[in-house]
Amino acid sequence: MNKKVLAAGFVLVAPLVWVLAESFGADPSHIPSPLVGKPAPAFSLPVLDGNGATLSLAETRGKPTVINFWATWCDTCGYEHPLLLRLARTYEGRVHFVGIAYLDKEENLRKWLSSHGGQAFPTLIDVGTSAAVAYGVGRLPESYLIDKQGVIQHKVFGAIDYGDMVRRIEEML
Amino acid sequence: MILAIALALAQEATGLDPRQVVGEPAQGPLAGNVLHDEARRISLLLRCPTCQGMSVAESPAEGARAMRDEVERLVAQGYDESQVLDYFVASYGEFILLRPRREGANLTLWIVPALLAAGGIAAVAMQARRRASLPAPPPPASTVDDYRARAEREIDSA
Repeated sequence: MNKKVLAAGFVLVAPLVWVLAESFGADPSHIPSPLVGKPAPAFSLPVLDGNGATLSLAETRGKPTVINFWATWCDTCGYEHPLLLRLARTYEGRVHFVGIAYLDKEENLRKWLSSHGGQAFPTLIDVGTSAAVAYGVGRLPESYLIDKQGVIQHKVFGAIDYGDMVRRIEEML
Repeated sequence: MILAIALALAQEATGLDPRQVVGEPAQGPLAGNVLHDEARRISLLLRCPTCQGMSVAESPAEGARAMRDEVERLVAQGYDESQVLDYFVASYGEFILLRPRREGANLTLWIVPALLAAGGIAAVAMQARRRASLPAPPPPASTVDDYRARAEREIDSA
């Protein structure tokens, strides 16, 4: 009887322990994006200092695209910006890089960019933050790697890792 | 109506179209207090992604405010609760729902606790029935009687 009770208890408790063990130490904000493997949400947003010009996702089709959601009030964004600049210069002409400013003011963006190495790719203004919601942005920074066909291949939570980005971009080229 | 048109134009300006995700709005556009109340009610069902167990409606985080605005834009255009939730689930996943839907694998959240409770009740009932069916244990020997008998034997032998 005792063995039966122990076996039944094990069967009930083991899956729970497994679930907890799997999640232990994981960052709760790193929720797998349901958008990976699906077409990236289309947008057409005004370009910072673009004299009214807009940039749409459709214009980036044909080359891999890296979309980076950021803001001047996000500390980690300052850390990853030089890495993004380096990547953008390394892959100039082969990969599109697009920054989308989230919940920020244009004047703050200009000041921040001039004190953080300038721009190597266009910064778009997320009007009404609809683009951030459509991409499922939670905690900044977040980056999306979109292939030549416009399908999201990967979502990066937090600051990018240069080596990891190079590997993923090379896979999409 | 003016608000709905303005919101629709703003949405067109961003190139983002909820119809591509959840189809045409299920109801007519809303405005005023009805819009505000409905948007708040739906925002209470959405999780703030940067908070600990707080809804988008209750969170003071900027990101939550942006999501509340998006809910209001969608509701103003006539999207109903189910469509708004679907729209957010499409970009954030099921995680964004404070109350998981009662379907698919989520059903385990309701079924497993019920099964565990039923199993526990059944185990206790079986144990109680087994105890009731056992023969009554013999009454414990009285230590006082033993003591008295021993004392009497010792007195007699003295």
